[in-house]
Amino acid sequence: MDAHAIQFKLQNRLSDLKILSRNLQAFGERQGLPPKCVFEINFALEEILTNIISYGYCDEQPHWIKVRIALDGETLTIRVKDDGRYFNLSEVPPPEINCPLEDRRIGGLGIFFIRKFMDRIVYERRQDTNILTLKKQIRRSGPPSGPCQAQRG
Amino acid sequence: MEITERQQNDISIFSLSGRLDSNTSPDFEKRLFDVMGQGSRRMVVDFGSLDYISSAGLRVILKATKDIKRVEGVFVLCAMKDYVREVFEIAGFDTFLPIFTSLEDALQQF
Repeated sequence: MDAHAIQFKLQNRLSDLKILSRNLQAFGERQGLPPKCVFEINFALEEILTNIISYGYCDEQPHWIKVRIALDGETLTIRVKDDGRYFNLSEVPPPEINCPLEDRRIGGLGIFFIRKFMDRIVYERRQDTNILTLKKQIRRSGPPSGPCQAQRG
Repeated sequence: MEITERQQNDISIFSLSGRLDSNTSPDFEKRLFDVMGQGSRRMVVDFGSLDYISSAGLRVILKATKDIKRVEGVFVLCAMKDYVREVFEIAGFDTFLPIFTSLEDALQQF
């Protein structure tokens, strides 16, 4: 296994999201990722996995969802594979976030955040598998106030 | 996640620590709405020790904000870490929900 990569799997139950946060925390510390960056990845991945767990399956059977996160230089690549029903989040329309409080709805906001926190999202359906590949740039240099600056040199 | 709850005059103060996510949000929602059900109309949520919030957490905050406004109460948040605050800003919640830098500042609004 690549020293700059991590791989883990979750079962389709919300309590397994702990596996995500635990693994991501350890990976972030090992790779010197800033807490803000780890937070954004966690937020986006929790959204993706919650969608799969909550809406991806038509049966009551256990299913495995596989996650791989790899850091190559300044590019973080995340891949999520599941055997749930077809779901391409690129097809979901953006939420209305400028309307008054009474009309605000939380639905769709999760995907809005995924787009905000990730630089690139590619969806593929291969046989009966959804494969979602996300990319995020990690800035190692630049001003200290940079959005996602790694702490190591 | 740990939730502590205390009363100061007639203000209910909730302090959260740890992670407010899909697993812990239902518990927080229950605590919040129990207090509201007991008649509390002035509430502060202290995010000082909160490390993480997911959209499930945002959902609870949005619901509470709507319900408290309906009974003409006051609901404010305070002491967020920068990246937690950013989530509220991205979602546009800061346009209708007062967010203060410290608990002290928040309490002065009542």
